[in-house]
Amino acid sequence: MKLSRDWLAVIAAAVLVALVKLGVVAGIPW
Amino acid sequence: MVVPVASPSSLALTASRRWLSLVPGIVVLGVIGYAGKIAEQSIAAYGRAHHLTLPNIEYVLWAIIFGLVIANTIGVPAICEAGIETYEFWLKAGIVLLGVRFLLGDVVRLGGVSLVCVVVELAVSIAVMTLLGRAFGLSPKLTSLLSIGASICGVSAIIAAKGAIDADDEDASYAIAAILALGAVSLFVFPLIGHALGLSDHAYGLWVGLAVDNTAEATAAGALYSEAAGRFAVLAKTTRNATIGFVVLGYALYWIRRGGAARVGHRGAFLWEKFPKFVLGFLAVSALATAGAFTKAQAADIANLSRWAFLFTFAGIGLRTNVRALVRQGWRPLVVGVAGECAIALLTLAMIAGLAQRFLS
Repeated sequence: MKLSRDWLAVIAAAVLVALVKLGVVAGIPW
Repeated sequence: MVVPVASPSSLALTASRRWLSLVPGIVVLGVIGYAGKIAEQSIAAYGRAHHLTLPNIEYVLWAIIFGLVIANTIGVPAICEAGIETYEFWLKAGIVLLGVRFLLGDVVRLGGVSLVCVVVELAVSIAVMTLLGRAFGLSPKLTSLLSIGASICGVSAIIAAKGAIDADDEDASYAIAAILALGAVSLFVFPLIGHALGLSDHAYGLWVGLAVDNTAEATAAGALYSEAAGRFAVLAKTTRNATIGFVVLGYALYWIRRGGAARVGHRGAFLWEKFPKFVLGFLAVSALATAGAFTKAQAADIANLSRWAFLFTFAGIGLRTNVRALVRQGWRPLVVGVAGECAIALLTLAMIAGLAQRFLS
């Protein structure tokens, strides 16, 4: 099954949110 | 007949090659976006060091200008094209992550206000574009595509509708070119008008979300005004995007009745297929933030990730704007687009002015 770009974006964002929540990713600068 | 079956290893190789082909373009997006950020910071630092009051030009505009200049002068190597096309992926991921900056109550309240405006905006946009399309003798399907592009969400709506109403490739590229040209102009015009009228961040964001057609340009035009305005523009635009399935379905049914399009299967499935799924991601992140799932530092991290995703998007807006291709499209769709968009911008501005005192602070 081919995922649409919409779903890919949602999954990528969900992974990032999970990484931040778990503390794997922290202190993102801007 | 023997059907060739690809082995798992060759499939994995093809997939990894496809992913690798995205890398050069993504690097270009990152470099141009970051150059925009450095330009903004350098000018601000220069002004501070020399006690000068320089205009604060946001990285958003620099990234777009750098991309525009590169794409229309030296051009972009073919090897980078696939990666540059990912700018829409970054936009959608950025919107999902931006959900962390909205409490669900605000989404419901402002989304409700936006939805009322969106319904009015849809009706007026479709009516205005249809009348203008007829007056300028555009083909009925091109008029339909321009109406859909102007009323909902620019390029993705036109692409979604193209298949549903069996429009020609030429009509679709005409409509897309007109919407993109107007989007590029709105990036410069909307912030100027907003500042001239002294609109609040809420009012300006809502206006941009309602009147600028393409999601990427609406996000950029909002961010050019202020960060808060950018957030409200995204919220209003997302509400507008959520109606895409209904409008495209309406047009598909209209063209089926006129014998100009193939049948639509199950209507619920059609609506779901056209629904922008990143809206669900945005609501989910907003719900998590409302439920207190993130600490203050974590929310700041997620918001910063959203900013980085938008940085890639803004570089992409400039890079995929081909001025020569826009000029080649001819003047009539552009005139219809300009006249229609001006009418829509004025009407939505009047609506916002009416709402400003009651709902927006």
